[in-house]
Amino acid sequence: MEKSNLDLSPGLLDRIKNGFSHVLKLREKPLGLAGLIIIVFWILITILAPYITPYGATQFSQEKFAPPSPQHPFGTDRWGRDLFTRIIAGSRTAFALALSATFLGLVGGTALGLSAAYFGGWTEEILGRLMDILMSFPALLIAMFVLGVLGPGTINVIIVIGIAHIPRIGRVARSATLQVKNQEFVEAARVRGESDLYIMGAEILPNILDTLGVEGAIRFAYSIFLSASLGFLGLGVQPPTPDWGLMISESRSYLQIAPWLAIFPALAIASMVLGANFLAEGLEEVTGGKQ
Amino acid sequence: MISFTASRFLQALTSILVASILIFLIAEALPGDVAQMILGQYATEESLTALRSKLGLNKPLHIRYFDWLSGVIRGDLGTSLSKTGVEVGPLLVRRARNSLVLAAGAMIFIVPISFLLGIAAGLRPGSWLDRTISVTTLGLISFPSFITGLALILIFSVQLGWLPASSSLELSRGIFQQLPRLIMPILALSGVMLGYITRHIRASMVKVLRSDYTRAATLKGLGRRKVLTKHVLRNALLPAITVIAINLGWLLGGAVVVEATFGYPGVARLVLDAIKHRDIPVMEAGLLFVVVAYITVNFGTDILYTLLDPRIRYSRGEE
Repeated sequence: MEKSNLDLSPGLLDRIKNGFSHVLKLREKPLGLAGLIIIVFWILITILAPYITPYGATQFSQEKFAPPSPQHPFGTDRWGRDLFTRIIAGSRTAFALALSATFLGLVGGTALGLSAAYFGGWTEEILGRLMDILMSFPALLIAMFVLGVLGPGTINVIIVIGIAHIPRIGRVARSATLQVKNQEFVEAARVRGESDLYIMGAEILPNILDTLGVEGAIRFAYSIFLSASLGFLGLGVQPPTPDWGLMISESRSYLQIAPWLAIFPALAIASMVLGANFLAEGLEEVTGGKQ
Repeated sequence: MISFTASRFLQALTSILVASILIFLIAEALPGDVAQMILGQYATEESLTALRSKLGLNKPLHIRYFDWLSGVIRGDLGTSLSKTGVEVGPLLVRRARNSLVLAAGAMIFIVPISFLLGIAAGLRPGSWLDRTISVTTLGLISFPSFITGLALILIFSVQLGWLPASSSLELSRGIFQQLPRLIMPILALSGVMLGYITRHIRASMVKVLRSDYTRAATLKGLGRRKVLTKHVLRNALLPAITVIAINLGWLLGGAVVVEATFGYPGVARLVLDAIKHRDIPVMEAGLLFVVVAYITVNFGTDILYTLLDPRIRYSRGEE
C-alpha cells in the first residue's frame, strides 16, 4: 500500500472501492484469476443446485454401483443414489460450513489479536500465551476433542473449526495492528479524545482489512480442508447429509469395484481448496503482501 | 544464556501444566457416566456407587486432577476402560514409537526436498521456476492427506498391486522389516508439509536477498557466490528450523487422518478411538503425549536457535 503517513484514515466507501479494485487487479495475476474463476464456478453451482441436479440428494434407486453413464454422469453409490447430484448438494454443505467457520474465526481472532496489540502490556502477554497454548494443539486434534464432547453435527463442526482458526487469525491481526497502531492517524484520533473502542474499530480495523481478507481466503481453504477431514474421520457432518469427506469415507470399502465414488468427491474437495488458495495467493500479490 | 534457558524452560513447563488442566477438564466434560459404561445398563445402584468410589469418581474435581497428575508424574497412566485390563503406559509407548517412526520417515523425506525447492525458487523470484514451484506447493497444501492416501492406494495397491493397502503393523516383527507398509503413509503425510516448508523457505530467501545487509555485502564487492553462502543462506535457513518445529506438531496430530486411511497404529488414532469409545485414561494420556512432545520440540528449537543466532540472546523484539 502506497500511502503517506500524513494521510488520515480513509473512509468506509474508499475501503469498499479499494476492495473492488483488488479484485479487478486479479486480471493480471494468472494464479489469482484461476482461483477466482474456480470459486465463482462453485458459487454458481451452489446457487443453481436445485435446477441442475437431476435427482434428489437422498433419493434411493435400484441401480447400485452404476458406473458413470449419461443418466448418472458420476455413477451411483451403494444405495443407488446419483453421485453427480450428491456432489452438487455437497457444495452447499461445504460452503455453509466453511463460510460460517471462517467468519467465526475472523471475528474472534481479530477481536483478540487487535486488542492484544492495541493495549500491549499484560493484556498482550496473557492473550499471547493463551494463543500459544491453543496453537500447540494441532487444529485437527482440538477439533476431534471438542467434537467428542459436543458430539458430531453441522453446528458443532462450524464452532470447532472457527475456534481452531482463532489463534492463527489472532496472530496475523496482532502483527498487522502493530504496524498500524503508531501511525499519525491513530495518534490524531487519540488526541481528539476518541475512545479505545472507536480507535480500534474505525481507525485500525479498516487499515488491516487487506491483510485480514487474504488471511480469510486462506482460512476458508483450510476450513474446507478440515471439515472434509472431519467428515472422513466420521466426526463431522452425519449421514445422510451430502458431505464430500463423508462420501470419501464411505467409498473406501468399494475402492476395487467403484473407484468413482472416491475420485469425484476428491476432485471436488481438491478443486475448491485449490481455488481458494490460488485466490488467496493472488490477493496477497495485489495487496502487496507477497514479494 | 542460562537465564534465557531457565525462563524459557519455566515457560514450557507452565504451558504443559495449563494444557494438562485443559485436557483434564475437557475429558471431564465428556458426556456419559464411566461407571455405567463399565458395568452396563443393568447395573444396580449399589454396584455403581461402589465402583465410583473405587475409581475415585466421587472425589471433588481438583483432588481428582491432582491424583491424575501425580499418577502421570510417577509414570502410572492407569488402565484402559475399553480394552479391559490393558495398561495405558506400555500401550502409549508402543503407539508413540510407531508415530515417531512415521514422523521421522516423513521428515527425512521432506527436509532435503523442501530446502532444495525453497532455495531454488527464492533465488529468482518471479522466474518460471519460481512460478512452477509456487503452483506445485499450493497444490500440495490443497490436497488433504486422505485424498493423497486414497490416490496412492488406488494406484499402487488396487491397480499395480505393488504395496499393501493396509499398514496395520504386526507386533511380533520389527518395524523396519515392515518398511513397505510405511511407504504410502509417509508419502501421504509428507505432501502438505512439503508444500508449507518449501513456501516458508522461499519467502525467507526473498526477504533476506532484499535486505540491507545483503545489498551491503554485494556493494562491498563480494562475489555472488560468497554473498549467498556467507550471508543469505545462513540467515534465510535459520528461521526454517522454527517452521519445521511447528510442523512437527502437525505431523503428530495431522497424522490422525493418515493413520485412519491406512489403518496405521499410531498415537493419533489411539486418541481418535479412545474418543469414540469414551476411554478417558487413554485419551488423556495420548493427548498429553502430543502436547508434551510438541512443547518439548519447540523448547529445544528455541535453545538451538539461540545458540546458532547470537542476536536473539540480546533482543527478542517483534517480528
